[in-house]
Amino acid sequence: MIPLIEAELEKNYIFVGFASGKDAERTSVEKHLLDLGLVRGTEIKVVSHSGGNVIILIHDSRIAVDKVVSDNVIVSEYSVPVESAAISLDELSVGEYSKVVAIIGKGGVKRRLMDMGLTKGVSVFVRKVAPLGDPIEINIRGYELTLRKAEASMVLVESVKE
Amino acid sequence: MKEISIALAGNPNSGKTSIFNELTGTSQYVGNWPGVTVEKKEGTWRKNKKVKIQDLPGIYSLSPYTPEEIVARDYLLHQQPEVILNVVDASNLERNLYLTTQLLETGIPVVVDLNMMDVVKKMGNRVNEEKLAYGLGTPVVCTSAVKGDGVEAAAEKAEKWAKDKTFSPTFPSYDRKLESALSEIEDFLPSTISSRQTRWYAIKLFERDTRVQAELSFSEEIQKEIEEIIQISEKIFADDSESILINERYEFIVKLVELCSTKKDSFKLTWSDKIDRIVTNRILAIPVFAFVMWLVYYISIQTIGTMGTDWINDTLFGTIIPNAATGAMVSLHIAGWMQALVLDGIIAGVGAVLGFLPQIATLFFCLAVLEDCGYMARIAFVMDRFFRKFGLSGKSFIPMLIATGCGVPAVMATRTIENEKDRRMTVMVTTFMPCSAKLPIIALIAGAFFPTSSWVAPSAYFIGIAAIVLSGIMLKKTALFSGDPAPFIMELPAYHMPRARGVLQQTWNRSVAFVKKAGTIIFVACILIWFMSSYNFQLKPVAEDVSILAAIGNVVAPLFAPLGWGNWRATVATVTGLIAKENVVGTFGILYGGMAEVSENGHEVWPMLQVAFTSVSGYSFLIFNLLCAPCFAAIGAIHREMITWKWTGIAIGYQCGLAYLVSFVVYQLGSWFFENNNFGLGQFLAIGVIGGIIYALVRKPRKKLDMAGVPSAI
Repeated sequence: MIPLIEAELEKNYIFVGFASGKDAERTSVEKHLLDLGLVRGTEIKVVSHSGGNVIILIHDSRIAVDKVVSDNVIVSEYSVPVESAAISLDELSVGEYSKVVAIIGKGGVKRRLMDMGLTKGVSVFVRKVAPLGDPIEINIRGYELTLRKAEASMVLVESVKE
Repeated sequence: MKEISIALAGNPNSGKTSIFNELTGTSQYVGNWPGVTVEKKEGTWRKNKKVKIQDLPGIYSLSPYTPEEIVARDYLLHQQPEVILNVVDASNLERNLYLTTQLLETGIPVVVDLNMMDVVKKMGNRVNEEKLAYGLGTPVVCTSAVKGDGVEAAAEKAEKWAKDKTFSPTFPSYDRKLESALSEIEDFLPSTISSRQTRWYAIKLFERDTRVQAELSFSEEIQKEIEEIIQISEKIFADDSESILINERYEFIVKLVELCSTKKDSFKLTWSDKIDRIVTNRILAIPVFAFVMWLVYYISIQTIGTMGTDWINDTLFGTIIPNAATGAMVSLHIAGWMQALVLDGIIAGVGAVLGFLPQIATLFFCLAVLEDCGYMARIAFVMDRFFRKFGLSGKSFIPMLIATGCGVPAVMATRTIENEKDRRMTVMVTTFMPCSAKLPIIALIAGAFFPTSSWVAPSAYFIGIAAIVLSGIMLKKTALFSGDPAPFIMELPAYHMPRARGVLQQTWNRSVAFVKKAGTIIFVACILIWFMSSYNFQLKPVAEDVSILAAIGNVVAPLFAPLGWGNWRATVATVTGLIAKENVVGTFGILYGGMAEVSENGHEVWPMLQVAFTSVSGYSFLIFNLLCAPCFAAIGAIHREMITWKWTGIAIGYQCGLAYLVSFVVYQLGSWFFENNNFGLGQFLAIGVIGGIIYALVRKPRKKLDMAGVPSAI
């Protein structure tokens, strides 16, 4: 996770939060950024850099912000898992235990996965993997859930020994 | 049939004003940058005079961030229009629909207008308006306002929806946990709130909106219970209540957009972004900007504009019109004094002003192109880095650029600046930028005293910018303005080819306004000045030196003697400049030129000026007139923005004070250095003034009055 000011051009990032922290009182500036569509999980791309001032691309619109803001906005690289030890759920093999670290991606699918109980910290056990590796059947919160590989790849887990 | 109001609401730069113009047949100012409209405008629909159309400033959210957003929000919530026509930039659905969710929640009937559908098609994307209408539970229409497609149909739909008796609001539905919290809050609402508005109040209470809390004035017990509900939700979602709602809104929208639109990978960089790579590049940005500005002024002031101006001055007002007028008046046997009034008063005065029309129209044209193509917003971004050092925000630059055209819209454009201190400071310094009406003064002084040097006209702009920068540094150190400027956040529109229609219309409107001013205010002022300069208090025609004007001017003139031009003509010209800056030249045209042979050539006042002024005092006159209080129209605009007379007084006083000091220094030191005057008291004082300015620039700032960076206006 890095502040936006250090983000590279042409790379995709997702918005994680403000450096001022979640518990801090939202300033009107942060509120305005939220209104502009900078909500958690939003994809961000840096279009142009100019000495700390950056132009970012979010939700199809280009927003220019200055150094004060770009220092305060924390992003993480889109493709790389948030925590290094984490792997995606579809990479687990049958019989492995793991713990959910994060759900990447955005929108309805993420919501759906979380609705099904795949939230941070929950333990997951892989029961079956279909012959071609798709779908995967897992056991969470005491019930069986079948996921397609595409969705499973959005769930980041770290394996737990026994 | 009762009158209904259709309110045009939507994100900044989504095309509300284009639709407004199309519906009402007016030609309000449109531009390609967010924040063009800063005031509500009302018009009637061409097709049905009973329908009022309200054009509102663009807003991102109903929780306002900048002052012009407050205008829109207050109108929507307190005036309650019959129907909202929500203008949505279809090429940027997600962000635009965010406001739509909030508008739907107000309980006012909403028709969603997918604007810029032509752009969407060009990008190869599609939006299915029927699915969108289904998802939102409200009618959806498609338009392309620039081309005028579908606009009438949109208004018809809105009118029908407003009159639909069966209307009951449908609201976006959010996560079940949030919904249950909201419905629990709804139970506390008093029955006086209509069923349409319960959702809005529940949401506002959930967001802990203090205005709504105060309006409802619940008992402490209920307040506590509501707070408990909110805190439970905050725990469940692990976020604060406002963020929960914002997140939920975007979740709802993302689902909706997935349902109703197909698009190619829009997260790719477009050619617009590639232009930005160069234009806002760390190193190239400033040279590119300097080149663009140089080009604008080269075209409008030095080449194309000048050709037109020369022709008008030398041929039209120099020969053709005076000769024709003289011929006509002589043949009609018009009284001598009347002939003098027409020739020496009106033609000399108004002609002196109108002569600059070609230059000014070209300047307006260039500025319109810059605005329409989308570069204007980039300039704000590029300049932010530098302006921050002087205590100003990059957003202050747009008003300054507009001020090169006219100070009145420039002062109004400051409303997009969210921090009140930044805004006040920008209002104070914006008019230092030479506006188009000051161009004639620059041209006159440059032509009369510095015919061979090309630096005088650019130096006027340089002085304007320097005055702004130095003022920024000095004012920021006073207790009135201390504190960091608010962070810069601004949406950048996509570049597009300037549209001939929009650009020409804007050039035309502004040029017409200029001509109108010449035909009305300046016309009257010219007659008055001619009269006052040709008669004495006994109303007998006399030589100028003993006229009414000379008598009055001579009283005030000593005030300007330390600036090198304590003669009554220059004094009168400066004062008439308050009516309109063009008057300075118009007045000179009458006071110096009126007696000369008007027909000989348009620059007939130059020799007279060269007698009355030295080069240095002429330059000092120029500086004073550039920096001092702007014309009454602009002072009025400043007062509207500053609201109190105290602040208006501070602004005008500062401008005049700075103008006086700078002219004083320039004249005193200039006359000593270039014109071999003795080094005396004046020079000594001038050095003292410089010392004072340097001290004001480098001294330690006064302690900050409040938290840095927190806009105090909201």
